[in-house]
Amino acid sequence: MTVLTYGVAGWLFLVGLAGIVRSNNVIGVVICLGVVQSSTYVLLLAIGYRTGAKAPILADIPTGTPVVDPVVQALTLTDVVVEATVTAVLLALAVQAHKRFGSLDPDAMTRMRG
Amino acid sequence: MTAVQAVLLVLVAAAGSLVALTRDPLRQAMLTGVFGISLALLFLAFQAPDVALSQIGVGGVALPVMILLALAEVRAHERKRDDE
Amino acid sequence: MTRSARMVVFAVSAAGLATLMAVAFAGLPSFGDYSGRYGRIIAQIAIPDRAATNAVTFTAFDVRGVDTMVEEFIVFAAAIAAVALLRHLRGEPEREARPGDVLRPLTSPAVRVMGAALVGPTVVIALNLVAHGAITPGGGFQGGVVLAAGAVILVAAGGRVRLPPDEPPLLAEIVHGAGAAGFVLLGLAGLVFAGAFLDTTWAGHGTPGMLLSAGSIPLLNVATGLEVSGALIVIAAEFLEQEMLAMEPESS
Repeated sequence: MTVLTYGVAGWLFLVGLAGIVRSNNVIGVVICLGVVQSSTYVLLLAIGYRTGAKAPILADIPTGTPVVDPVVQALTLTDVVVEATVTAVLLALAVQAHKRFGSLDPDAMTRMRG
Repeated sequence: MTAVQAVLLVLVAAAGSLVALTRDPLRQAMLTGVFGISLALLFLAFQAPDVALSQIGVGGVALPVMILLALAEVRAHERKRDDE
Repeated sequence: MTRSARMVVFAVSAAGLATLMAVAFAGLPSFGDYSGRYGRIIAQIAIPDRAATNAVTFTAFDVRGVDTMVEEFIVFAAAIAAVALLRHLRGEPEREARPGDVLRPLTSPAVRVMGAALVGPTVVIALNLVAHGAITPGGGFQGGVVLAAGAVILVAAGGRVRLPPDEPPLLAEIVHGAGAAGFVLLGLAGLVFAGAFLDTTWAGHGTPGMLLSAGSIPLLNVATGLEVSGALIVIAAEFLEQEMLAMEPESS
């Protein structure tokens, strides 16, 4: 089952990239970028997982029970929120680009005008 | 690895593929919500409740709302430009 | 480059990338076989050292606190960037709405009823998540996102929105700034009282499992919750331009 887990992470990365290349709408590009970011979350959590271990909340479990790695979870949870705000900046860019170029097609946004 | 994790992994891969291969951004916004919630379920299956909580909030609410607001603003600009 | 040429180039390079990724993943430990020492040490010292039962929050706000502070500043900067980007372009006609316009979104009664029913529980759940960050799953980031979601539900349920042109709402900005500044001030308090920046032991130890435990980690969680919710509300308010909300201005 190692293949399935890492395979899904790699598949999400590649399919997100394919979405970015194929898209004819700048907002679609931003959404597919979110898919690419999610592949990294899956990979991080997959690395930290221990078979048969519990979640790293130490409230009622006796000391010494194996728990899943808390470090990758700390990294991933801040990353999820940062992704949301960075996506907001990219969407603001897309809206302003539409105002300037008149269309949301990436192929139409080629010329730089002073 | 349990059967739940395997099923959720396949579901996440399918949802991600649907998001990336849809053309219309409005439909992509709705599918992003579905993708976000399935990711959150996968994180729960990986024994990561904190990450799942963030992902539910972000992928289920914040991200689709921002995409919809951006699409609505673009449409409002187009309508205003057509009126002039 | 035409679209089909672009797709062909991408297909070739994706095949190469997939091969490289497969080779790289083959070197990773197999799934479920985590054997790192850092995680195990953290799980063992979380309760004796800091009385924090949530090992993830303990890691994020204490062991790797500077990392979290920088990520919070990314959120802060992104909110400011989104506001700056959505300003008027040069040469665009001035918005002709009067300042202080009160607009209400035109939503169906079903949405308004659901929204009104859900706002209260959402805000309570958000505050609960933020307060219990050090004890149970939760924390500043999660609670902040849920609180911002509560604000979105409030607007969608027909709450009156007073949007000053060219400025995010004042309360959201105050909350946003207070959160970011609060985090740094708490870090400095750690420096003053305990000798290291973002040290959390100065606020006492407490009993594990009670609300007031784990040093200053609950306070850091509150600061983070304020900052994240403020940032998301500022961003959402900036997107809600006046011509987008339904045209029902009323003089207040």
